[in-house]
Amino acid sequence: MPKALNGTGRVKRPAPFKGAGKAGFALAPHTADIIVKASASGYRPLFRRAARGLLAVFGAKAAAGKTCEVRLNLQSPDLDALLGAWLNETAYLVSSGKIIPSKINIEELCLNRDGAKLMASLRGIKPSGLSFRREVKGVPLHGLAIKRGKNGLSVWFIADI
Amino acid sequence: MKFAGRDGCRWELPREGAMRVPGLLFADASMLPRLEADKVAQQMRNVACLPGIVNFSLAMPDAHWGYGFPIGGVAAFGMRDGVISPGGVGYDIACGVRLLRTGLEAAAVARSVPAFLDAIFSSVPAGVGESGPVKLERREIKKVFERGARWAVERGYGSSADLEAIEDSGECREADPDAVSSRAVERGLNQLGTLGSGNHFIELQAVDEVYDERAAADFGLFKGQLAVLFHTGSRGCGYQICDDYLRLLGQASVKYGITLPDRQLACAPLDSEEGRRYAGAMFAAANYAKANRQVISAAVEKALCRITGRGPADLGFAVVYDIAHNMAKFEEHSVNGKKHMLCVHRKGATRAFPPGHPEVPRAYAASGQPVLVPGSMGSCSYVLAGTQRAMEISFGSVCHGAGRVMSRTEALRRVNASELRRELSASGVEVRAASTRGLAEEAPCAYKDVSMVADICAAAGLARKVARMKPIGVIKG
Repeated sequence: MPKALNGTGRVKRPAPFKGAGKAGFALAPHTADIIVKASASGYRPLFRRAARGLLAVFGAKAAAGKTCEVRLNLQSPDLDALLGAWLNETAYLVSSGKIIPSKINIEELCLNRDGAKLMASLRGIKPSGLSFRREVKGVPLHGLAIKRGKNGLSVWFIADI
Repeated sequence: MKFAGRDGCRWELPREGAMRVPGLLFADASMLPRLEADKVAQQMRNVACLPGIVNFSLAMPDAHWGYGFPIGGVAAFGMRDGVISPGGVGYDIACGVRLLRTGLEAAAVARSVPAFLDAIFSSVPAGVGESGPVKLERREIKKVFERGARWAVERGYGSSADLEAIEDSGECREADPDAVSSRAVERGLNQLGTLGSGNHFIELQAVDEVYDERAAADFGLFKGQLAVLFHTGSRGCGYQICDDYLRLLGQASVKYGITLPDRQLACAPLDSEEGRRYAGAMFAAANYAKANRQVISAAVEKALCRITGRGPADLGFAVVYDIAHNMAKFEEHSVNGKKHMLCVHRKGATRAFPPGHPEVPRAYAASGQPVLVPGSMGSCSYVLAGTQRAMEISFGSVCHGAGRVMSRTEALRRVNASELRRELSASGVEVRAASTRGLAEEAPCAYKDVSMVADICAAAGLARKVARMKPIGVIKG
């Protein structure tokens, strides 16, 4: 039986990083690239906020275009790797003009003996023109490890630009 | 984690814990505190833990915090017991620099610099998400993966003489187009001939100092000459190959029982199916990058011809050299007096082979391989030459640029892009930028002093200084 990781009921308040505000993520300096820090009470909001942070690095804006939806089904050996895969998939979708997401819905997030699994839907605009101001080459796995603290979950990662 | 001084420009990171070899950093004493604070030492230490690493985990004077390897990191691995790692190559596979020479005197064409920049800026797409002038079919891109710059020359972009002056004569023969995913292929279909964004640039340069007359003559360089230096790589296609193989090699690391100090150092034995597939795909991306630079080169030539009203021969246009600084390569090196084939990873580091080396173009046999070291848009850039000493102490490797010291966030906070543009213009540097924000992020103050970096490389014997160039026109992606 997979263990559902909906993050509800574990903690009352997330511990936002300095500057994170209501968004639950913040951008921080890195020598050549940009660090994204995200925090949340549970895994689903953490994955969502991390993706929002990545979109903030892109400076992605829903430009003119048709509304669309992209469904994702990802599997990885563990949750850290899954988060990396999720972020890189999101980066690919934005970079290649498939979608600028405005709604991110993590439908299923679970961990079992076979690994971690995510099902999500992204809804937004398939842009007809330039829709972001910064190119993100990828999200390295360096440092990407979800930490559990007394106030909830947190993670930081680098957006390679 | 502290470095121990060996001499004025070499610092050892003593072996400890799971490190299989010590670290060795080429730097000035004044650079150490920043490098220690910037996680370079930690990342050198992590690389030193990988199986089959030979002699040292190295870092060049332009080193800074990267991911997996430090930027400026070099490591060689034995072909039998060693590994290959996408983290030692990076997302922008075979990102590199090309130097073009002209027969023009920079001073004589100074008034034409804005026109040159406009012509190049309009013919080489720069910035985010740009698609280029070349549209490829899936069948055709496989030929790009196989033949690199040679493919571009065969399609009329430049001449066959250019190939002599490109690393690997313009094509990596180890490329395996079948190891490239469908998604990476898709990302490469429309981006050939594009510059990209971030720290990618095209610069018009004036050669303002010649240190080694003979080598400069071999490279076709003279004082006062107009040259063009540009920096770009394998674009979205390379990023995708890196991402694809980080996942595959992450699983391979588990399969082969390799303990990773950092997941970005995911790797597989060189002598494994996974390792061979990554190498094949990486070399395919390298060929894409070489073709990309060849297409851009041809566009630059065309633009200069149009503005000057001269033909290519009359313009004296030629490739001085083209070299990657994000690559893993199979090379023969001497270890403890014996020759071995090694897989040398250079992440933000440049190959620097000596005079007489078989992989150095014949025209440069007496001087050694040209090494191209760009500074920032407001400072000079250097042309160096590889040395025998580099073969002995750094697997024939040297720095790849100035190296950043300031984050993009901090640069944006400190620098006003409009003022920067005015300052550069006042000092004789015209600028065209795809993004105002990008311009501020790449401000000269965000980089180390490139002259200091070049001097340390020369003092350590990693390379000889041949010429210095100053920018007179800059296009930022």
